[in-house]
Amino acid sequence: MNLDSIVKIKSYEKVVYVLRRHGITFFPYLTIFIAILLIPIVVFWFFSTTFTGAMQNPNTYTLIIFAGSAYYLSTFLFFYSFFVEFYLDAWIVTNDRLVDVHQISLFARTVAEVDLYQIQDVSSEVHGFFPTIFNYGNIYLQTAGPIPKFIIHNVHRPDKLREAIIELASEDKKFHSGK
Amino acid sequence: MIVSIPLYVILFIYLAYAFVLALFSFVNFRHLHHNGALTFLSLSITFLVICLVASTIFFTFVLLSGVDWKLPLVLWNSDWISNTLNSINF
Repeated sequence: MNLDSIVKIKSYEKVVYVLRRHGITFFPYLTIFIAILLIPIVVFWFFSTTFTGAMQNPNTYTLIIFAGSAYYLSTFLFFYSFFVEFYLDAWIVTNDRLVDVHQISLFARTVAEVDLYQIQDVSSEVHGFFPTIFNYGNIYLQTAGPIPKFIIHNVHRPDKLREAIIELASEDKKFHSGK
Repeated sequence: MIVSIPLYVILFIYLAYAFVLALFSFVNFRHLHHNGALTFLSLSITFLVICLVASTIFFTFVLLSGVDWKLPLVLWNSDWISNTLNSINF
């Protein structure tokens, strides 16, 4: 992740983690996408068996091919857009702060950040069948800053990350208190 | 009264739509590039989407290869109404 394009990196700052949601959480999108791809096949089968005469008409045939093609092209674009939104949702942990990049849609994004020394409490949660099997979950950060609660969603190995963030926060607190 | 357009008008509408979709796809790719998220996974997905789009366009034109684009596509024919009214027994 190119942090420079999102926030200005300080001279002493280095990126420790770039966190994204666990890949398995993209699976529901993939299932929906496959189901959407099957719809025209069912519709075409229905029309070809019900309206046999209309399907022989060259105009109807052309329109159906164009409609089907436009449908598939749109579906591929939606899939790509979903993937980009999913992939650009990221949490960047540096030795100084945590940056939350949330890609809401193609033309909307929010960026929030919290200084590590402001973190008061870190907790992790693995809740549910798939999160337990694939070891992913949420990390909740309670801060003294303007954003009271910071949530890192569906990241891999949340327990280890919680420990790492606590460690980084404690180092950052030492650094800031020594100033 | 009959209102009709040649079939190639639909082809132009389709191409215009495909152009808009290509533009949106480019914006998506630019997001990935701008945020430094061009990894093996994101490039693979981009390549997969490009292959799917190319196949869709290819098969569309294969299926439409025999079409006479000058054929009129009737949008409106007043006979549709008169025939419907004549078929109804008041």
